[in-house]
Amino acid sequence: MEDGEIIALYWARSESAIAETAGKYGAYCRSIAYHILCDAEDTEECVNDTYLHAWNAMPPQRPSRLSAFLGKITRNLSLDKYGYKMAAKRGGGQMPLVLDELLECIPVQGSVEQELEDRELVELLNHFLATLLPRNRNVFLRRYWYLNSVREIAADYGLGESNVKMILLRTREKLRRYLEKEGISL
Amino acid sequence: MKHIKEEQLLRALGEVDEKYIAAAAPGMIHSAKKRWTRLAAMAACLCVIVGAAMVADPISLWRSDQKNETVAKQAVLESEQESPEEVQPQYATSDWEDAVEERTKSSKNAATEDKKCTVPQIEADDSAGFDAMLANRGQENTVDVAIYTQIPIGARTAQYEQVHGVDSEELRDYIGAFYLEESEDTGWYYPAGKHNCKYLIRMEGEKWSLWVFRNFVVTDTTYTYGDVCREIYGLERADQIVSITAAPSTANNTEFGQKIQTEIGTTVYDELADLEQFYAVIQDVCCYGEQENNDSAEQRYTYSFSTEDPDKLSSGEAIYGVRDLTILLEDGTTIDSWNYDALRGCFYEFGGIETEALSEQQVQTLNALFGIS
Repeated sequence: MEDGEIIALYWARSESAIAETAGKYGAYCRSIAYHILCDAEDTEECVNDTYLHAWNAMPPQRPSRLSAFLGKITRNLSLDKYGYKMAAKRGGGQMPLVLDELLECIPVQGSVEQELEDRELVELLNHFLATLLPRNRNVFLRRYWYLNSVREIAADYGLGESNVKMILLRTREKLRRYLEKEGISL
Repeated sequence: MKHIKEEQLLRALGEVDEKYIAAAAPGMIHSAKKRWTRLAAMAACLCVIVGAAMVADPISLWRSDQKNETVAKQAVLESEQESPEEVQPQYATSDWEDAVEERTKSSKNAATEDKKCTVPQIEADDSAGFDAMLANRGQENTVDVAIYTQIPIGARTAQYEQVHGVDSEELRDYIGAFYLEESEDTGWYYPAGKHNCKYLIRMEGEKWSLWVFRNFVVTDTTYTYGDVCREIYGLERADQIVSITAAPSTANNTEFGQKIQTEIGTTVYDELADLEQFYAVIQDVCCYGEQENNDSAEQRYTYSFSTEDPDKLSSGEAIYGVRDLTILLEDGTTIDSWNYDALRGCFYEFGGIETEALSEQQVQTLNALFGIS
């Protein structure tokens, strides 16, 4: 079923919207959640919550890219769950590694500080991503949006793991310089 | 200085543009490896011409450089890049030529195609800002090194010249749609708001540089000005031309030469009938690129201002009989490299680029249009 038809089902308040979504994007959402949580039960819970959030969001929303729309919901729910679960200790999965790596992107602390608005940061990130070559951008997002392992990314893109690591390293360094230039620090 | 935490960065990444997320989604890529075996031949070929400092009148030096000097140093980047073949993006870079051809099928449709493809595009659409930035750049006549590169455009290879005086950092604000990947950390972009190939912006690592179309590389085949119109400027109909400005040649800027220039004056043609006439003439005009062109090498036409003086520049004939043309298109782009030479009955461009000799009828048409008699 086309995305437009699935969205129309949500708008018509038809419960088959959930089944169609699960059929088409269940695996996609499950993959996102599992890469963050590394736990089948938690993953399933987040994916089901994704459908509930989608049900509540449509209408009024009419996403232009249903996959990314659902993926964002799953990712946010999974990050929330991860936060709750790992408040006391860090678990497995890609999260600890990814957070450590992202730390490299953040320039050292400056003298005069203020909180950065999330929206402002997203705009900067969009601008930064737009300056990347498509493959490098995709590799970067596969790591830091989808939290895929380096091995998975390497396999999917037909690259060596060291090559992927190098792309990520250079892109993180580039992002750090970009943020620094925009006056952003840790 | 504002500060963020890594968790905030991770969360913010989650909210980036959905087109990026969709393009990177697992399953959008399959791992078929394709070696770009043709890349070496088509990849950027930097030609650095080191010449004498170009001073007040770089034109004659340019022409002399091209015709008489062989100091060009070519370095072909031999790269055999492995690149994943993307399934979803319309412009999957499985093959350099395919990718370029896809982008340049029709410059006119570029905006529409960009919407369909998932190759991300920077939102900036400030073509006026780009034009203003270009107008305000540093003077070129202080530059003594001209740098060329070759870019595949459709089935052809085009030669581009680096535009000097444009700051890399400043250029970053005028990056438009992605055009082509050259290597792992090098790619080409349209300027913001532009969808033709007159100017392209090259990103190499952190450095941005601006390049302007110069000519198609001629090997076994030539090309026409009609090809240039379509493939570089997206010009497919006469009514896409807003105006043609014809100015006398400034090659002779002595007091005598300036007097003739004033006498001739600059004329702007914007009547559709005139534009159609001009457009019809240039369509099939064959250009030899940088190849030696003998058929228009000798002066063939005489006029009321003709003299016996063999030096047509100092005699003033090369001012009376030459028009520097600026063709303004409806999207604001200008074609400003063509010069009509009524003495030899051909077009020429700086750098020794010339067209075939026009037919007598074509010369008569252009002479009537530009008031050369």
